[in-house]
Amino acid sequence: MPKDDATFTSDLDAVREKFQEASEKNMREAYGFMLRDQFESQMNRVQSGLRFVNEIGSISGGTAIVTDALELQVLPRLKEYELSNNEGPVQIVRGKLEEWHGPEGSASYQFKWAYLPQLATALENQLAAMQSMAAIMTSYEAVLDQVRQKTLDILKEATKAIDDNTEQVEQASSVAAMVTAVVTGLAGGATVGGPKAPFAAAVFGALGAVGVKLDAVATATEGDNWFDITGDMLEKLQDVATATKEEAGVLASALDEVLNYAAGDFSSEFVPPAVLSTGVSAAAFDGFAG
Amino acid sequence: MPETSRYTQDTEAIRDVANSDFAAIADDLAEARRVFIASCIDTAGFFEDPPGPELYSLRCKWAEAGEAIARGMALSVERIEDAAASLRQTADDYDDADDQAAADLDGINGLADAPQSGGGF
Repeated sequence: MPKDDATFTSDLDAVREKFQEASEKNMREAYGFMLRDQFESQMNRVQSGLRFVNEIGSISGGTAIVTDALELQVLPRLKEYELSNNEGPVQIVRGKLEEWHGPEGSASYQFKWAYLPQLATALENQLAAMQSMAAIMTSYEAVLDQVRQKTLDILKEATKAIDDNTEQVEQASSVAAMVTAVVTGLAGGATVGGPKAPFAAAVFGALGAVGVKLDAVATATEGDNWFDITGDMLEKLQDVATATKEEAGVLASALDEVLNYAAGDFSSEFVPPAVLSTGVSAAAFDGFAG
Repeated sequence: MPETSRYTQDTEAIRDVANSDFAAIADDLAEARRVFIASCIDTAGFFEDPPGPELYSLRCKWAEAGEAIARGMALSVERIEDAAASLRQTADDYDDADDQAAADLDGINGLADAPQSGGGF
């Protein structure tokens, strides 16, 4: 499925045109010029049903901008703050201050054993926050991609069913079968790295459920005549819209986990501790408000 | 803070950490935050008026989480800069204490070297 918005629009127009042609032909063969008003009315409903895919969002002009910024600019800058990185900035600081000693309660003791560990945790959690946001946007992009694929598949299946129905009416068999695209799953597109921080683990755990509802939507359409087939097609398009809204709920629960760390119960682990910088003596770190 | 033989200081290293390492960390966070706000919150990837309350709610939640992260990063930068200032002050205080100790020692040596009047103790 092309992620480029313009390519998708072009694909959708092409498939919609074939659907229109198949529908017009079927109506001519099966009904002559009768039921024209009902036909127009049903076609309007189809056009409305097809609007959803373009209303939910863009990929190349939307989600991809976000994921590119996170993956190419933000994450590389913060990557070194993983706690497991033995050559990270906090470890380097600890090494530089090897000769700064003092007993428990001294500034050096407080700085090294109280302040630095909390700083390191906060920095890793900020990396985890960005990894989480990237994963959530990637998952949303996979949802959009899947909605596009399902919509095209439903249209193609309906067109094929209409063509088959026309053949039965004509007693002919000259119409070539349309290619039905293989439905792509979300699993391959929804992963961004494998962060170990508890923060990101909670988010990635929530994201594990993304795609289940949407993947389960069937695309095959059937019916004994054009009205039955397009009625079934409209139901399938509605199923896609309903499943997408359910996927939005799953993504929102992943964002709840982000909020829990960035602004909720665990927010003290998201920012480094405050240091009283009154500037009077080396007692600054004694007053560190961890 | 009274210094005793139990303490050792390396004020040059402390200042280096404050001026170089902590400044670099604060810069990383500030730049990451800037790109995040410009590319990820302001152009969120979600349409402003998506169909249905579920998708609208998702868009709002994305913005809410993004703003919470950005706030946390701004506070982090501020606190890291405060910590760097405290480190610099700590180094200054150590040096002042050393200078004072040296001056005191000079004073004591001066007293010891001064000519005694009154024929000793």
